[in-house]
Amino acid sequence: MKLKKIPDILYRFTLADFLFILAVFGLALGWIGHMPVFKRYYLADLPGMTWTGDYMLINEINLASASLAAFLIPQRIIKYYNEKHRTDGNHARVRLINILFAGFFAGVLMKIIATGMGLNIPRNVIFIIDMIYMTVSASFILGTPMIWLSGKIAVKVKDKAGIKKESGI
Amino acid sequence: MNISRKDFLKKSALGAGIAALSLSSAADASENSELATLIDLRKCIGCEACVYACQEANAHKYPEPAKPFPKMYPERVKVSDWSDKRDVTDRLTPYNWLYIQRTQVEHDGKTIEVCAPRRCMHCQEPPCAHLCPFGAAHKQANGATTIDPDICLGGAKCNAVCPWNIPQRQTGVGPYLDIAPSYMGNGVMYKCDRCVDRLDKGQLPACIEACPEGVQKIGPRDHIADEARRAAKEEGAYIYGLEENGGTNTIYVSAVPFEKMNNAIASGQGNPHMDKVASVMKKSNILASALIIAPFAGAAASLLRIGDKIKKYIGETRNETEKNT
Repeated sequence: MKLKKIPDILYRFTLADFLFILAVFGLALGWIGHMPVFKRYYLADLPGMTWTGDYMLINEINLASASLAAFLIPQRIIKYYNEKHRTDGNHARVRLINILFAGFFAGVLMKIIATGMGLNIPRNVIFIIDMIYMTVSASFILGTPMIWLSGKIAVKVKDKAGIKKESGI
Repeated sequence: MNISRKDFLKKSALGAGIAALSLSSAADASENSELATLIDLRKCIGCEACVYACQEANAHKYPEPAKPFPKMYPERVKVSDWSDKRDVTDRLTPYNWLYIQRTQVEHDGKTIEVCAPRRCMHCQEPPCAHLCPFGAAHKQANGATTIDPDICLGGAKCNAVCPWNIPQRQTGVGPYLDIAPSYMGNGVMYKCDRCVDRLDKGQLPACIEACPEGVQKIGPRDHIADEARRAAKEEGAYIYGLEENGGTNTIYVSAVPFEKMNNAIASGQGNPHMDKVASVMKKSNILASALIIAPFAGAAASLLRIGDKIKKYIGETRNETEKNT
């Protein structure tokens, strides 16, 4: 029995993709919005953004997004391994973004477990977790657009040079 | 009400004795149990002995700000300076973690003056500790919530999420001065820590020890809650703090309904209300529970999907093979 090539259904932009992107945005907002500087520097005063000044709402969005991301991560892992051959050119960048996301998500989970679940965790451990959360969140939120842009620039440069176009990230 | 010095000392000793007994029973009952305080407003005469005892016991924790304060950007960020108003005792400040809230309430055809010692409620699910971005606010194993002045940057998020707006800020002190004082942070938040250092040494919180009327008691929360319920059932007393914000470790008992007290209070920053408070963390707790289940549900859904795909894929391949042969 000869096996058919894996169907293309997994390469389409699905509802799961949309929900995952939504969850990532929610987590990013959860990180930025949970700090008082968000309000201090007028971000919560932007038209249509006043709701982001509600710390409890931001916390709930962060938790809901974390739950949604945790639900979708197994599917993302499967999809990643299925699509690996499709992103040969950008594979290093995709992997880097995935690593940054894994770190970010681990930071989110640590933060929620440390301060959101009412556990008696020593204060110095909480402080270390907070610092890790800050670092990994900043790395992911700032790093991902840079990696994505570098991928786009690389594709354009290669196009100009007449090299075969790679698939985008 | 005037009381003589002799009476005051006698009553203080009696009050401390009662409170000490309750603390020893607290220790006997369970080492892991959260401690709660019972504040019986029927006994409080508003003498402020607790207020001054609190100030004396915690003076070493009070902020000593560096002046002049750094210029703040953007300009809308205002300094909070209480360092020149340290003698204010009619509200909560960074230098006054406990005050007597006085109200006159009409009840049962009588005008009753109620004196309520007000300080941090020490919630069982403290939003300040759950939401502090730097882990400066922390709930201790004994049920008290404390703020670490060596970590706090004074963003006042704890004040914003506290249903009673208890923590108060002092500018010009704390770690923000070493980071980016003009652009980030604004001091340190201060509030009652229920004399965590004294409790660690086996002593009573200063306010409880100093009270000449035995207004306050401290003990395992279950015992304190039972006592409050008993007072409500047998003596017709009203309770506040048992259910508020999902339960607090500061439980008030009063002869007048708290709704009436709340209506008579001019509440605001530094003057906490006595209104009903639904659990602030309830939704967050439900979402946190969902987070525990989510990865397992996601893995199960993915496995089912893979199973379906494999089935379909094998079926299609078999059909094609059969067609070809």
